[in-house]
Amino acid sequence: MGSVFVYAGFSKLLEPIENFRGIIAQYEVIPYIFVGPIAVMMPWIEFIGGALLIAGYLPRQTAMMLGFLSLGFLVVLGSSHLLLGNAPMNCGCFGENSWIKLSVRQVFLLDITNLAAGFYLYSKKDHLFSLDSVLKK
Amino acid sequence: MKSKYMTTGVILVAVLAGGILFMRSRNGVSSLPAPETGQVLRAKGPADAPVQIIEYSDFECPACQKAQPVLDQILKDYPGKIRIIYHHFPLAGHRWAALAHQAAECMNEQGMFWPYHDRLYAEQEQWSKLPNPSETFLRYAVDLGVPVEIFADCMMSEKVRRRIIEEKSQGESLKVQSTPTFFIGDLRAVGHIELQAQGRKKIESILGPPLAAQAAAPAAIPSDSPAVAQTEEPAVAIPAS
Repeated sequence: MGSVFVYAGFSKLLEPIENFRGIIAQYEVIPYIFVGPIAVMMPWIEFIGGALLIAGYLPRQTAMMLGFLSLGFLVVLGSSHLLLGNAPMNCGCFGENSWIKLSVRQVFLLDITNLAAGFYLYSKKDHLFSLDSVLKK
Repeated sequence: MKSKYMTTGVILVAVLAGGILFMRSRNGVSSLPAPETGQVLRAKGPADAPVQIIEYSDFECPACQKAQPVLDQILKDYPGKIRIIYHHFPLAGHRWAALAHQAAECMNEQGMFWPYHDRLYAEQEQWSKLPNPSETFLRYAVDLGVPVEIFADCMMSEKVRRRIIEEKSQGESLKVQSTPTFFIGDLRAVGHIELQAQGRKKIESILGPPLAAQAAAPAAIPSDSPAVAQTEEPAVAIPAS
């Protein structure tokens, strides 16, 4: 889960922000006023959140946050698909050069998996081999 | 213990953010094309137009199709002041994109790029679903008066294919990742919604509001002024290049 978010954030952060902005704008269910702020903040949240989860820094909280993010993706993707009859997945949305190319269905599955993983990690009280376990000592 | 957590968190975030900022500064995340002058392969609008829109587009991309009415409206709103330059960017995920771009480039060689371009977008939904649209592309070409043999020969041309690939690579070097991507001066607008919102705003900042909007503003033009009678100018003549 952490590595998925690290990759998602990292690939966006090394691209012009307008590329991601344009993709978000195509999800017409998101009010246009939020497109700019989301385009700026989302890649950082994904990258740093994912990296903190891998390191095991506040793993419960980080997992919960990323789980909610996945839930948000599902809501946006689902509403785009159901209300508008399409989701903008077919125009290089993951970057034409990215080695990950997913269909709408695969993205749904990935988000559901991340959502489940997020809530599972949140429900666990102890996380062995995590930075958290070291800091607690 | 709380301060240990805080310090560790701050260090982690600083290292991660610093690493990204360092990589961004080294790689240069935003690249813009230089204004294109002189001989341009596919251009619509006068060469000395004050605003140049450089478009990277894919004929099989639905969002690119949706951008066409926006571009047409911009041309209508600013007659003679906009030049659109089209660049091929066939996406790998689109089954017939490469073939469609080859066909369009072949028509470009016959001076028929724009009418063919318009038809490919207008009938995108039909040909993109065909098991093989080669015959449809040939029919479009014949409808525009291009002889079958010339078109068929060109469809096999390695030179034309290479030209399209080179153009796509040029786009990739400008960090074009998805289609349609537009460059208007120092603005990069990705997708038809951004073209409509940010692109139009940029054009308005350079050229002012469109003529129709100026004419509609009652405070700007007195009712007895002869300028009121001014109607929308005819769309700019489109030279095929």
